[in-house]
Amino acid sequence: MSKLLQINNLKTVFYTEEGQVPSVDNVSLDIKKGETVAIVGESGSGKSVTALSILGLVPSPGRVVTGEILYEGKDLLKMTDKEIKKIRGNEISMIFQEPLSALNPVLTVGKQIQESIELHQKKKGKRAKEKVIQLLNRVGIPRPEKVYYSYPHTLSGGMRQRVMIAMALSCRPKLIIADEPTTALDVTTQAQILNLMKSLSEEEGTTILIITHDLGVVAEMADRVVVMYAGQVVEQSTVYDLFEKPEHPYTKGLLDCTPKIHGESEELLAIEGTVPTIQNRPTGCKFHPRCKFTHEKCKEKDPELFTIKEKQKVRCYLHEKVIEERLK
Amino acid sequence: MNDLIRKNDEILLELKNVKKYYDISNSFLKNKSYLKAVDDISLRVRKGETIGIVGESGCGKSTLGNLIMQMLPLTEGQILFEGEDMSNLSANQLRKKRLDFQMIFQDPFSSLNPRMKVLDIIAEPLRTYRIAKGEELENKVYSLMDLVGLNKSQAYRYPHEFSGGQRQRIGIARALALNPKLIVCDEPISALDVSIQAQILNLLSNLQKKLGLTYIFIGHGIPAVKYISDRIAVMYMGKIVEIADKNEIVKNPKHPYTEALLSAIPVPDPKLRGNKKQTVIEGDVPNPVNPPSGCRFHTRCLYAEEKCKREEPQMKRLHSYHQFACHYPINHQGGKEFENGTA
Ligand SMILES: Nc1ncnc2c1ncn2[C@@H]1O[C@H](COP(=O)(O)OP(=O)(O)O)[C@@H](O)[C@H]1O
Ligand SMILES: Nc1ncnc2c1ncn2[C@@H]1O[C@H](COP(=O)(O)OP(=O)(O)O)[C@@H](O)[C@H]1O
Ligand code: SF4
Ligand SMILES: [Mg+2]
Ligand SMILES: [Mg+2]
Repeated sequence: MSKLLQINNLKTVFYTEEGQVPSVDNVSLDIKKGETVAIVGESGSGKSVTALSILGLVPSPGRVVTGEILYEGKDLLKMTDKEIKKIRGNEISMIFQEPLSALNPVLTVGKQIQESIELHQKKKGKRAKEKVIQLLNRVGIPRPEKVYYSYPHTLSGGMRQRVMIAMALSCRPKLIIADEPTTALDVTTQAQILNLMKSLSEEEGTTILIITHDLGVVAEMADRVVVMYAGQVVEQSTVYDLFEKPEHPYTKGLLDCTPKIHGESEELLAIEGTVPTIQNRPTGCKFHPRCKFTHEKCKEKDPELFTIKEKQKVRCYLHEKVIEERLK
Repeated sequence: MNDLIRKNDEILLELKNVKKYYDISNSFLKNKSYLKAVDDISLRVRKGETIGIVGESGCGKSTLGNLIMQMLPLTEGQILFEGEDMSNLSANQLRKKRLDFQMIFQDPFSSLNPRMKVLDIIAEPLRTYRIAKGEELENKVYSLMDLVGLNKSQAYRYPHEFSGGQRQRIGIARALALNPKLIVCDEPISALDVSIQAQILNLLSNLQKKLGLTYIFIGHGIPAVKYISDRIAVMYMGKIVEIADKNEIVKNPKHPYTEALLSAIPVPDPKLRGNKKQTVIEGDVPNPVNPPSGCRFHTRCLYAEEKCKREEPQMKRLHSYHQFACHYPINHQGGKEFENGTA
């Protein structure tokens, strides 16, 4: 499989009273055609800023300062505004947690999608409208002829998210970036939306980058997983390895504190302490103040992302030893 | 007849056919119209237990919590606290009784003055009820802070300087200030990161053991609610549709809605992907102003028959500790009739 997107050493900063602080710190990841990759991590880990960096949508006072974002081999960061606009909303679409913020409140749902279709698919009038109905149908909206004339705020959260997905599909994207698409929804609606996204991937081969803080969603959706903490990638692996043999202490901690429905245990293992804000990220390993295995070195110097086997990388000194021993 | 509660169990709270209808009549229309947010709920809560309450948003969980807290007037029914009907109390008696129950919210500070220091936030109920002052008050606040895992050096800081999890600890300390017997927790962990959710759940469990508290724990995710609860009640459109021991309800759900809620939970194990029973329900919750006839769930239920559209199912008992309201319960091939019963 060839790579559709490859991010190399991305660094995105925000300019604050404390000066320039990195929000996304040297992140590298890649997505192959047809794959579903999940970025998982708690709030403030830099997931959304990574996604916004890909699309050139980082809000001020933020800015991408270094790195490459190669889309089909071409660096999005070197493109002009006009070139990037052509890719955004044509080849790459984004779905947000709160679709209301992304939909136009004074236009009917049908009109908005139709405008996008007229723009991207060169269909006009009746043919474009037919296409809209077809899309609303595709995303599981009952009575699409009626919903066509509805305004976004009159729809339920789940229906709005379906409209958002229809909107994203209207330009026939190769890559969909979904930032916490189900976080605001009830579990029942979440299951419906996840099923819909799965069918896009399976039936149409759409490549998906899904961002979530929920390991349950990761396990349902992803082929590969990128775990982020405090702006960095701390672990990267296939979904099966990640759940079977998580290697980073943070990944293990996240798995332990995720409640399991059939768990018999009465107590959840918590990760002590709190996620640092970007102004207060510690030196050395960003996780060291909360880690159970911290040693002196962890406090001093940032561990690199060690490759421990094909397709699995871990940013933790515990794995440096393993590698050194292997080299001996 | 109801042996769900054993004879020598002490009942702290009892709800009898509790209803809350919001008047949503439009002045242009002649007909009165009501939204039945809580519709005929009966429930008995033992001293020291935790009842988890789950269901999709809008099903009436917060309304139920507010009714228990006496923050909303009942439309019908009775709420008994330690055997005493709350509606019979005078304003003054109620004020005293209110010391016994407290509430914790999703965002503990939406209702508080952002310019108040932590010390004053926690001290406020103690001052209002004239329980302590001066040095005694301060010491009381410090010991509460210690109880919830905050450092007393943080007493003179402002809420915005704290993370979400620490703010929730402050809210808990404030709720504990008056030594309540019952705490209604309305989604206290829904806005927190998972690592912090676990901290708060564990804190609440430990406090319960230490102080003998009784909890009504409202949440929207069954997995998290299950950790802290003894029993779980599932609500749909203003009604409890099933209630059982927490392990029983996840292993052997009887109501199709409970089954649907359970099967919708994403399982954190990719090996189990796809081999789950596909009982994902379609569609949204119907408009609560015009609830469906018969069983309110029939429009989304995978097992609905004609009878479900006509007749509203009554609460039935499977065993003493498991009850549900459904004409065609899951894994039940006719035969045995169930007894009526309430939770
Ligand atoms: N507009 C902004 N201004 C300043 N800082 C920001 C802004 N947006 C994000 N950040 C900072 O960048 C960090 C990462 O944010 P984000 O990518 O939104 O995290 P996530 O999506 O993982 O929750 C956060 O700690 C946040 O403080
Ligand atoms: N003050 C009110 N007036 C009218 N309707 C209300 C009011 N408060 C809540 N509701 C409605 O009552 C129903 C139950 O709401 P709520 O108890 O907040 O549910 P939950 O906490 O389960 O999400 C919802 O349909 C809601 O819109
Ligand atoms: S590098 Fe050290 S502090 Fe960081 S996760 Fe590994 S052991 Fe823990
Ligand atoms: Mg985000
Ligand atoms: Mg609520």
